[in-house]
Amino acid sequence: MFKLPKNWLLRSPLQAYIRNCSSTAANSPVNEQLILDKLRGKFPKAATISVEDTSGGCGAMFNVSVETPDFQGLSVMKQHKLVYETLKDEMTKIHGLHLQTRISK
Amino acid sequence: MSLRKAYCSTKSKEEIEKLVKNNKVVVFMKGVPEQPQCGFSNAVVQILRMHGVTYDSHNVLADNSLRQAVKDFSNWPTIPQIYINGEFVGGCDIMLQMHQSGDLIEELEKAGIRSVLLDKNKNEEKK
Repeated sequence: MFKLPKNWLLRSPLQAYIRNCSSTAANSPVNEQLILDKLRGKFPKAATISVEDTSGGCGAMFNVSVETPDFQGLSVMKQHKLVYETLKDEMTKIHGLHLQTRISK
Repeated sequence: MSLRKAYCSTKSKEEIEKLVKNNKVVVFMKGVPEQPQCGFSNAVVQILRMHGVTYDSHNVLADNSLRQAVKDFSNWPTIPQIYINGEFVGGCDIMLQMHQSGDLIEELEKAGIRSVLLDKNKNEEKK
């Protein structure tokens, strides 16, 4: 059987994550406010838009939640695509984001 | 030329299409299933393992020509990306959502794959 090195779970993603943080932090002006402003501009009717930097402030990882009537009739994938499209410039600079979309009335 | 090929070339649409149709479930990820190199990719691997799914996986970190080509192909900006029956399903968040709602079991069923969760735990279905 393939044997994993000790602590691989802890080591590899964390290392990659730290590497990514340090490499993007320097030239990445992405922050919560920037993402929030972009999303509010795109979805003015949204009931809720929340953005949380989960990378400890280095701007590489975010939790984003959007609840808006604009999503009516769209599949979850299309809802996510719409958000990604809105954050096109930011997406190239960050490592990733957790996205939650909901349809509001 | 070989250097150029390794670092500058990008896989064509046709090449990606061939990859996504090669198996019922195909995953583009960072790292390999035995050792994912990103939390998002790891989550997808764990979900598929729970359902007992066998799949093709492609490590975008090991193949630069793949990384951007896949994103362009699906019009999706992040890795991992999951294809079922040659169709783009989504990334980590959507997989997680489908797993929690039970939609993933249905989607797999459409592709002719029976999730082992159906046999393992009937309660899981009701969630």
